Amino acid sequence: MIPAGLLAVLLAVAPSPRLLAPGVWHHRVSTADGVQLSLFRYVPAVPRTGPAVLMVPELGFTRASFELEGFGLAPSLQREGREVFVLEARGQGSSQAPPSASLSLRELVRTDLPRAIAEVRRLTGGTPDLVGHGFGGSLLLAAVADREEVGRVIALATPAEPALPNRRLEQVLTGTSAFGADPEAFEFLFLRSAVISAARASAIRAATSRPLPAIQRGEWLQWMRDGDLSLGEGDSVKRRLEKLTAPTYLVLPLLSYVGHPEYASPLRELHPQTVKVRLLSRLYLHREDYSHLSMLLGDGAPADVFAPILAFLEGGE
Amino acid sequence: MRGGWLGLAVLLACAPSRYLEPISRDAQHHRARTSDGWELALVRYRPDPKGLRGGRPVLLCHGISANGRNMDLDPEHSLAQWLAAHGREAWTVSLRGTGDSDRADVAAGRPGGYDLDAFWRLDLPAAIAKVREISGADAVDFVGHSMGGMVGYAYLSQGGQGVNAAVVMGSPVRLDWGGPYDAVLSVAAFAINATWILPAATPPLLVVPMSKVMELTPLEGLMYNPENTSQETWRRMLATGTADVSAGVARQLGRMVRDGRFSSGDGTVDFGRDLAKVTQPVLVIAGKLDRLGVAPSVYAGYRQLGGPKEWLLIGVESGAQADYGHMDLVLGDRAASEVWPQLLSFLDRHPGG
Repeated sequence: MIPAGLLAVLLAVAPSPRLLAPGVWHHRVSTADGVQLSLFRYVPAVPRTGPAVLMVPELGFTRASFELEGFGLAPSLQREGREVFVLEARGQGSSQAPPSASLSLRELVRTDLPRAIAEVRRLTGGTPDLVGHGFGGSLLLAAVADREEVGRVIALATPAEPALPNRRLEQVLTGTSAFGADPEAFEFLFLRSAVISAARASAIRAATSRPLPAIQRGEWLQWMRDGDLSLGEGDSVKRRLEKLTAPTYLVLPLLSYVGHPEYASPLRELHPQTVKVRLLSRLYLHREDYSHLSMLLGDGAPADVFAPILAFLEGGE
Repeated sequence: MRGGWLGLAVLLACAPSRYLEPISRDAQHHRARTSDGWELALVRYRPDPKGLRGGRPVLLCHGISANGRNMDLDPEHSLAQWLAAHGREAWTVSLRGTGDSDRADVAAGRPGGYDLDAFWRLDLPAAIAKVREISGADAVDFVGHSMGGMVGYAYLSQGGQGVNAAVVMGSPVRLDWGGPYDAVLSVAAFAINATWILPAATPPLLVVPMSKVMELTPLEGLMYNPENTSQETWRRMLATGTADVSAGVARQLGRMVRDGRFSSGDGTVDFGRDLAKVTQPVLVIAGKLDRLGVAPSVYAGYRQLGGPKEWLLIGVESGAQADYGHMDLVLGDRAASEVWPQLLSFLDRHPGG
């Protein structure tokens, strides 16, 4: 928790939010260690229907994975009366990348995600629901696992027991470019078999990813090799996930080549009473088997993914 | 009009025969008798002396609505013949009610209504005993596909006597994945009379004559990846390798959907939990594009296993040309180079005592 006095100081120096599009604002949020984070706010034009929702993209991805040219989960929930926030943590997207010592993924768990939740609470006066995608989502779950001030949680292909899935991801993470810089690798890792137009796929590749700092790439690789990410002082992501208490909806795309469904599904084994699962597959008459990004930006996502997410957030499913 | 119906009837009756695949002349046919009086059909392939590598005989067990020919469709799509060619004695079994094994017949003392428990409690011990008797081996290696792997899991979890090492392919231990018709399925499974035999083999046979006029049917799309398995192979499998399903088995699977547990028919034995007691080495294989034994459901079994274990996901990530669907693991055109060598290597690396 951030002390009230410190929070007041941080708020005093925070720049004014900038309007990006009707109903979409870009806030700058300062962390206790002085890092400026980007927090995007989608204000509904209709009366609010429930708590605000804080979204955290996959590592190396921007808010565009939740909203690209007006399409995506963020505007979809916004239209349903939810106020939506999308965080780009340190080193991600348009947020600041401090010196490498402060760029560890540990700081996302310890500092950025709690800070973003506190900011959303301050701005909306309530406890937010949460949406996390991929490994970024796993870090979000770890950050809130032992906290009570969260509502419902949507976990989108969030590995609980990861492994290194393939050589392609390893090669990309040992490079320095954004995922989108290699079209073939991007298509394989994030959009394979997606039901999506070529133009849209191209726009996704161009807009959604940004280069990851070297330290984060290295930690991510080690996380997959070890099956867990140390958070220091005997703590780890896996240990945190064992403490998760919030009602959670775990959405598993069958054809993710990054956050494999079998890496994520153990979360339900840990919490059989509170974690509900939805597998995305043509077996269930879904539009496609879904990949890591098509579950968020694919043509069939509004019906197959967004609608059940909204139902869960509203207490259904 | 009447002539049209007659013509259709003749077509439906005759067309599947075009796809019927005779079994290899190398096959040796055996019968095993279960302790409750059913006779099971087993087929044995002696190892090729040139490729003889030792090791125990391998018993191959098919999945639901199938028979022993799933593992031995034709010379190019036969795990049994492939193992024999690579120096392993291989056996297939047709579980009760399938293939050339006994069908339910109340008058003969073989009532319907049997479930998966009959397969692991009665059929598998009888098949293993027959293989041991004929081969002289002290134990067998076991390979199960789909429900066949579940039968193996259940057997191993309750002691697994006579099994040295096992491979399961596309075998789920959870069936509750939030599907829109999960609730309907679990209710429907309990609405049917448990003693019925569901004519599951008939609809696929009706599809076979349409092979020239229909592209990939929705069902086929769920069963295999056409990049791995040709439609021609699939049609031969439908004509040769399908079987009816006992309502008792359907009920047990419906219970899995409803309860999220892999358990005995009466719910008293939790096979999933008891997998922790397994001591035999097990290789667990999943197909990346398997829409029936989806990877997380297969992985759940792998996680639970207590003994030495290995996990293998077959798809482009593992070096295959395409991602593997459910039936591709046993029928795929490249399974003999992309899947089975890893299976055999695992068994060779676990020769036991």
